[in-house]
Amino acid sequence: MTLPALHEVPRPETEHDKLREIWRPPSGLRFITAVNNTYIGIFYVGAALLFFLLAGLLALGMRTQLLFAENEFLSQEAYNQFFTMHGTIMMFLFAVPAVEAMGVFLLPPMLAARDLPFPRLSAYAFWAYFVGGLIFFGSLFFGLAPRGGWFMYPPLTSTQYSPGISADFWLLGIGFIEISAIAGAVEILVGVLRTRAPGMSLDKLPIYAWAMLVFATLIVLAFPAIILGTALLELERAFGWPFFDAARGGDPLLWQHLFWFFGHPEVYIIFLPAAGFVSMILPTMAGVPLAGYRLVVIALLATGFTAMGVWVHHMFATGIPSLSVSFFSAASMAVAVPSGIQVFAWIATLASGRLRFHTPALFLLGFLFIFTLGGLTGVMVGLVPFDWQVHDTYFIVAHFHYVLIGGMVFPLFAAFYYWAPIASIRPLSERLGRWVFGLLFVGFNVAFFPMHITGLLGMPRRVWTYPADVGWEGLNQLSTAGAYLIAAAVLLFLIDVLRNFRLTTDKGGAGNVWNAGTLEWIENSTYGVRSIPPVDAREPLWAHRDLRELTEAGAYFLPGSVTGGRETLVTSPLEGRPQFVLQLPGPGWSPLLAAVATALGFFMLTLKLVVPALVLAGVTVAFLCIWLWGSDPGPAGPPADVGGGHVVPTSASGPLSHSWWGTVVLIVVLAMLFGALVFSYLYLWTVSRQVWPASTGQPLPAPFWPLAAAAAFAASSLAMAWANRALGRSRPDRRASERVGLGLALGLLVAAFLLELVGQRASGLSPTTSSYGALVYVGIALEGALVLALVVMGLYTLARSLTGRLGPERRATFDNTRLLWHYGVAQGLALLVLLHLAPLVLG
Amino acid sequence: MRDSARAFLWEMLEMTSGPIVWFGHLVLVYGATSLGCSRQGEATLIGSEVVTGVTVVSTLLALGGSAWLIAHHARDLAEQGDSEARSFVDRVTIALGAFAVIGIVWTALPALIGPACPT
Repeated sequence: MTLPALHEVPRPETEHDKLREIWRPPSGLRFITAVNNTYIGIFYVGAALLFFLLAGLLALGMRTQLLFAENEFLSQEAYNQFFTMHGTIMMFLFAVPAVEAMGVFLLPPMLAARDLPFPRLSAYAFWAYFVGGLIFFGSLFFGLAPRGGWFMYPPLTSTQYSPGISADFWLLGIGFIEISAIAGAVEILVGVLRTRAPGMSLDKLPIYAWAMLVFATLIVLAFPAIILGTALLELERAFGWPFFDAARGGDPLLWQHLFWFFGHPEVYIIFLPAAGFVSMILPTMAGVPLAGYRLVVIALLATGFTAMGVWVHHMFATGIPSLSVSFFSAASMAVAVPSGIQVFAWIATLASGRLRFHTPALFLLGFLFIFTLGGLTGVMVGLVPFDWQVHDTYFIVAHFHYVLIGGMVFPLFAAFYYWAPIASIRPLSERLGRWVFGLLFVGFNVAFFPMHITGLLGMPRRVWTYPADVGWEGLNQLSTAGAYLIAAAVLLFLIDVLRNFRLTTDKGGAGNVWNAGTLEWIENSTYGVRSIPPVDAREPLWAHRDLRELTEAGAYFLPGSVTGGRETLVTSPLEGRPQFVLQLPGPGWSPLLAAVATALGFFMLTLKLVVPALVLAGVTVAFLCIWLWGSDPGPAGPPADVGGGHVVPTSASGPLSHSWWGTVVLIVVLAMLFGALVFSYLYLWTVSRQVWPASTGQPLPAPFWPLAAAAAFAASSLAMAWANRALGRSRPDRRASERVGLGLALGLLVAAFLLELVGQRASGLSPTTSSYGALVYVGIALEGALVLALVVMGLYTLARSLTGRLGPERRATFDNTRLLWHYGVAQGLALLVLLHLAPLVLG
Repeated sequence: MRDSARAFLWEMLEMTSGPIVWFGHLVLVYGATSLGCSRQGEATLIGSEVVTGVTVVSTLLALGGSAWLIAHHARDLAEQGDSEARSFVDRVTIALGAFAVIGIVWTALPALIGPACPT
């Protein structure tokens, strides 16, 4: 069956030439200013692989140290730095960025979008991660690398036991890299929901896109907890605010709650995209559609949710009430239900088709074997009594490597071999690929299977060396041999890449070598597909054999450019109906320079150089404003015919706009951050009531202060609503009202914040005396940061108004500022309730 | 067909409300246990009998909410059949609601079959 053409073909050649010209990548050294996904995606994947290699080298160092009992290859100090950096880099600088990178690269062609909706945000996220990651890794060469393990538990990481700045490198470096991950998640969420091909309704969404939706949602929900945690620990280390110091009403377990509220979902953040790879590759290799598509979607969603509710299973050995651990043990068992659904769907797909044993299929079979074993030991350690026995032993090391390497690295290698033909003019080598698989599979099992036994024999994780008479040496030597086999596999993979991977961004890749059914296998260029095909099936290329040719001929939506610039089609989130043409930005220095300034700013903070850090923060904001100044361009002309009788506008504002969706996601991030603060407050109240005002007699601020602050917050929102009404009217004389409204809103917001701060100061409360005071001031600091951001946004919006860049037809900037403004006010009012009513109610 | 931004966000919230109810239930019973069961001999903030009460009531409420959600969307599914996307959302809502029921029962069992605050 043929999907009818929406435009006459053949198209005029000048149309295609113009499309190429519009999307022409920057040449020479300026290629680093590229922002579109074909470049940023590849940069991202390359950087993630670099960090994989670096962390792998650290692993080889550790395995060499453990080769013999009482070995002295590494000093104890160096070993502690190696395992901390290995875990941290693998989790934060390889695993999450690698799957995010693949999403940035793959999602646009899979959804038939020309690019993701915020290309400069992708570029910023990449450069911030890359520069920040290199600085972080560089700490090893100066003996400044952190030593507290990848989860950095206090009190080991307090200033008392970790003096110097090594722990600060971790806290500031990782907190900052997570902001980069959140930026990527915003891009992916809005991209999947709003830039799909027409007709690609939610029930026809490629399963990988579903996985990335859940992945990005988990980042948005889970990462704020660790951002707050790292901020609290850094505040304790830098200024003595006692959140984790038990002597002053803190609790080290608060860190564990915040860390694992992020840390457990992190496992699924890594695994779910990999499961998405499997669900895309397996059907192609078996030649049949994925069995139980709907069930797999349900399983992805259920896994994502369950991941948010099992964080305490990492804390079974901390002495929390046994009934509490039972709840989380039960919840941990529940993960087996959706995970099982996915595994059975894959097995059913294999059973219903005929598997072709190409390299990607081999990696998938390896994944199924290894990940299933990791899942089984996961069920074992989910049982509290067993967990107590093997806690902090090599059994745990074996378990999580089976889960993470089996669940993420094997599917990632499958993905590299599977999708290389769309990024390279020739595929990777089948022959070398089989060797890579064989070495990796054998090496992995030789390295990690013996660790189960080493752990059961009692070898604790993270020990620098061990005595000769405990019987661990043989097993450790086996593990070390396996580690070198893994290194050989990775080396061979690199040789394969160097020999065969030849990047192509201005013309098609090696073609649909696997006869896959999804849209990314249509010839892609820097502009994505030549025309955007309508979609009426989950495997459009299998349903319509001539779809590829007609799409490449320009027969479908947007065969050229209707705005004269870079653009993509925005569709409705549920049904995928065309809504408007989104004008996209081209290459530019501002995201790159903003990212470098951000990374250096955090580096300066690590070195306690506060003034340079503040200057760099100002530079970052300046570059962000430069980059935003050209956005929200308003309509490029009258509504345009994009094909099939669809005439749509060339800009949008309010809830229709992609940027409004980005703002909504940002608000969810902020709400989770605030939620983590409320949790911290309530948690410390339950364990340290002796430092709360009812016990210490610390007076609360007089009612005038919170009441005045609340009134100012509310009035600020009202002033913003007034400005909104004025902007909605097209009469030019209303411009003054709009500006007065904005100015008033700004002044009132700042006043509200200052009233709260002054009130607390006047009560004599100190942030260093107890955890109560520290929590009060960190709440105010959190609100202060938001108020500062809103002030910058308000002034920026005012500047746009004064320069004629704001109006009834060009108001996306204002709408986004307004939305965030109302959230900022709501959070401010909630904070007042927490700081003034909660101490009275809780006692 | 509701396909505006706000309607869609609401619909997604409804689609995932089963697991949200499960999560709320987990946090509630965990919170009650934290307040009611002593840690290493410390005094508790509420009586241990309150833990059982909170667990029973919240479990019944969570199960009732999930059952209502499933029934509501099953009715929607039976009544309209014009949009594949819409029926897809209904089916996912029902299945996630059913998953939530399993999760809620599973979570509540330790509190209901054993003593409120085992040592």
